[in-house]
Amino acid sequence: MPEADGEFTAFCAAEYPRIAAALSLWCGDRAVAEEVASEAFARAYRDWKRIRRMESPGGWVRRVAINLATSRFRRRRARRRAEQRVARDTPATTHDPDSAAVVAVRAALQELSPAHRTVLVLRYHLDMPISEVAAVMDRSETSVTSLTQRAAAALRAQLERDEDRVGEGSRHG
Amino acid sequence: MADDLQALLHAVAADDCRPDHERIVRRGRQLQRWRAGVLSVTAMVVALAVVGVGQALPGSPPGPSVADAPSVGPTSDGDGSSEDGFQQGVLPGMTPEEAEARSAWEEAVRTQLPPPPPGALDAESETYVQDPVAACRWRDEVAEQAAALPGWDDLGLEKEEMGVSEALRLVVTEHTGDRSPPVGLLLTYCMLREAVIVEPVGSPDAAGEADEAAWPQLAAEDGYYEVMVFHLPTSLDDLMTFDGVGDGSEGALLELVDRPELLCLWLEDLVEIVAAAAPDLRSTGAGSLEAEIADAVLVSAWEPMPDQQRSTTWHAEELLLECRS
Repeated sequence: MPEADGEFTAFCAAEYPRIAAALSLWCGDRAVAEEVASEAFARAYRDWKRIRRMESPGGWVRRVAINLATSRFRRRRARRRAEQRVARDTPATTHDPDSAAVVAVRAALQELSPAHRTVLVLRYHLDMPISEVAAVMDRSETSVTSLTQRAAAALRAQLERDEDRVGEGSRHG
Repeated sequence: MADDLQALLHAVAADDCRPDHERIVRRGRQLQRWRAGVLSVTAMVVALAVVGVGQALPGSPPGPSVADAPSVGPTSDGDGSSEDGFQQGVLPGMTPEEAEARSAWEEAVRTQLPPPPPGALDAESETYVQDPVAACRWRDEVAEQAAALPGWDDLGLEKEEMGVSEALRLVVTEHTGDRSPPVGLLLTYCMLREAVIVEPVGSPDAAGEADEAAWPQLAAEDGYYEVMVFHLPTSLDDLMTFDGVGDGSEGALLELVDRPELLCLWLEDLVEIVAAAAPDLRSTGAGSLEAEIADAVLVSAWEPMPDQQRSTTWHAEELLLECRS
């Protein structure tokens, strides 16, 4: 289906960077984000005949991407627990080339609950309207509104805690 | 605050990600092939279930044995091309070297891997899995040893579970003569069994976030435990193809729903696992402790489904009673 392939390629080129960037916030890991984004777009390719007729093919991919990321988060959490059980858990050392401030925000996001992280990424990174966030998260718009406020407060509190910790560390160091 | 957050998140997100079109399209086509195979197998299973589910309830006259049914989709087959989807022997398109590696690996699997422990599996039983602990431990051994055999790396398998599934099938066939053992059922069972994570989540005061946690919570003497059922096999994501949005648990659970005795075995098995992992659990009075555990397990397993479907699908207390009747 060369014509559809061309159309899919254009769709992918337009939507992928935004979704992968959002996932990089959600996952805290760019490589994982790209993997999840690729899988979401592969699923879109699989169903492209149907999805291309949707009102918002991009919305469909965003929803699949968030579901995949959530799934992956759950698996990762299980793996961590399993590793702890068998005492093989060694702290991962990663090198992040970004500035300390950027790393701090990403780290703070990772400390939030999945729901908080999802709502922040959808609302403030993907700039989705509340109605669309509500659809993606299977919640009412009222619930999304209050969740957004709590999530923003939680992120702010987490960033402040991290700052305090760094401050104490430098005083003691 | 909103504007600040917007600016902040835009600033810290990776902004130069580009799609790998070739990879996406390759994977998309693979998913299309799997779906084509899965749907044909699922149709067969549904047909069998329509005939057999009512009869298969505990205490009812026996329906068609699960051993007669093809295993569902890519749990066992990866590419969804039926129980024989892995397709033994030389396949079209294989190079002579690949064919040789494949034959050598299959021969080693047949002759070197351990047979299922006595009593772990029963092809005559509706559940197939008879002793969950022994059966899943054997699955682990086979998976580990099959991957260590010469030729594994040359099989060109895109999904490890395809190779594991085939190894299990080869070994069972070798020792029982059954050419179509439902090893997909065993794999699904073990994966769902391992999917239970029980972890303490602090004091009752900290449970205010409960509505935001995806996982159900159980009360304990000094706090709460979260119960998570997940680690659904990646390949099952592709079984859940009907709306394209979800994480696959529906497919895995539907396999169990189609086999009530297996669902009962799984549920009771998981209730024991949760109870053992959190010995200080206590009932909140809403039902028996076992029913509350079962409810948490089912809700967590069914988590991607909308609430109304969940509540009309699962009734842990009744299900447990029915299982034990």
